[in-house]
Amino acid sequence: MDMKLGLGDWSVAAAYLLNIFGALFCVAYAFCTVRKARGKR
Amino acid sequence: MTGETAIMAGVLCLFIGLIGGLSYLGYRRTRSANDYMLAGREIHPFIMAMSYGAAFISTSAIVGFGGVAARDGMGILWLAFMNILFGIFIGFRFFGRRTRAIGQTLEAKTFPEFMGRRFGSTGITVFIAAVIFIFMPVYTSAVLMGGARVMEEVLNMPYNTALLVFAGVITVYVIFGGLRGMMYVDALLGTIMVGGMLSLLILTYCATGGVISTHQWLTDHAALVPEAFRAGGHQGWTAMPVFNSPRWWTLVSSLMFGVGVGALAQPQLAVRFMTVKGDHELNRAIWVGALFIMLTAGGAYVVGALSNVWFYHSYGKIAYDMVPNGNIDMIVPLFIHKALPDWFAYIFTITLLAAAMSTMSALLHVNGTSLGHDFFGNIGFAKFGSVVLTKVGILLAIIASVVLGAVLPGSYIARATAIFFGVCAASFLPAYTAGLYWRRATRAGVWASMTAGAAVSVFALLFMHRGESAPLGVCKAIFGRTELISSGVWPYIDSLVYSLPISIIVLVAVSLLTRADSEHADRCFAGISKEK
Repeated sequence: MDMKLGLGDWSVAAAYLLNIFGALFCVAYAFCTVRKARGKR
Repeated sequence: MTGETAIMAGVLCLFIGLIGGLSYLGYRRTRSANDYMLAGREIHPFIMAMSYGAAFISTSAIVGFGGVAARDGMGILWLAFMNILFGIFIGFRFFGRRTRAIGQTLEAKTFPEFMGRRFGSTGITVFIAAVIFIFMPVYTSAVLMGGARVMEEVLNMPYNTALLVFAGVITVYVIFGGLRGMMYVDALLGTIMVGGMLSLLILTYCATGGVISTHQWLTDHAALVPEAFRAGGHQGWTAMPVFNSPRWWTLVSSLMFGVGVGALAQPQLAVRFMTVKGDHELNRAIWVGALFIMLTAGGAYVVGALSNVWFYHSYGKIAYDMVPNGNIDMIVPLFIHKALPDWFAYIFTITLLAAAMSTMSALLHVNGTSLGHDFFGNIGFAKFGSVVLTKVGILLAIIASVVLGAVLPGSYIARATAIFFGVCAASFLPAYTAGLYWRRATRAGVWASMTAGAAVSVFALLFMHRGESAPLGVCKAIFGRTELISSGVWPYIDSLVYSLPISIIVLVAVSLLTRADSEHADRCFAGISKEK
């Protein structure tokens, strides 16, 4: 699979993927911190 | 009445009815100045995150930066990533928690009041309020122009009429609903934005032939980039500009750095951290904010760049050549109007109006609280009460924004956003960060830092950065040239690249040379110590 997604430049492909994975990281972070906080209660 | 017009009329009625209902709910639940300015500090995390995102992403992002993406390509996706990283993750995790805790300890209702109380100076409150009131109408007018351009293009309405109608509706619901009503409305508007932008992204990829094949087409047709753009460093819509070229500096310094990092010091965003009960709510809000930015800002930039594919296949021209006088603010509205089915174009208009309304209302509210509560309230008008002063401030702010929106030139939306974010970052970010994390920061240090940051930013706008100094004309009138240093890439380097470091150095140096009030700092940080 072309990891550049048809995008000509690695840095633009990286920005494209970082948007997706950055948002997913935030989802995972929120999920973990909320679970941790519930566990402490 | 045609079918499409009937759909549009029905959707608009439903839209306005929902906004009216939510504003009324906010109005009924607003009983004190704390409710009017901070939504009672008990807002649900979903509403807070949607309101934060909807206030952050406006028609500036969708129409203005979408137009920039159509002209300059997908390199601007780095800005969307910076928005997620700085605007959401670092903002909520590292700035939000302390802003909420210290703000509650100090009983601050606004960003200027937060800063003034943190450093024990009413003068700081008044100064920040003045900077907000002077520079925010530039940004507010840009958002207003974005909304008016959409109405002009899709509803076939004269531009000045669109400006007035749009401003009038927002003024009414901001004045009556207060921050609580606004945040309820924002949650609705934010949900509409996510749905609309996701649909637009999917429809655009479908209309242009799929994800990878469309990207590949843009990559393969880099030769269509006009020669004038190529000379400035443009290498195609799926490539970054040539390193150290004028376009590279504009993308990296003004957009990625100025707007990306500048989001941390936005008063209308910072104040939202103080509307929730605790850290738990801020953590719960992070995921909503991140997905919101990815879909709305990221989606708009991708659609902007892909519009070239559709315009070229349909008209044999790239997007930039489709709009009169190269006015890139018109590219996204034109694409929606021409490329999408009529019924979707009408309904998508609601998405763009939602984006403009949510940001406009947030800016007007902050402008009103700054001018009314923080400025007038501290110079002898406190007897009129915060809520009345804020309403007067909102009215003055909307007048200033409508006048600017009527007289400012086209292709201005993205630039106005960058100006405001840059000035806020240089003036407030070091002082705000120190207020949250550095007990040794002194009142004199903060004064010096904010003054230096604001002064260097204004100097650069007038005499250094060609994007602003040329249209403003002050440098030309005094020195006979558009900027003081014309050699190399200097005219394209955003002022934040040097104004922010200067502001940081001045803060640290002056703070270390002056005596800190450690007892006051301990009182400010008491809420944080308790939570630990």
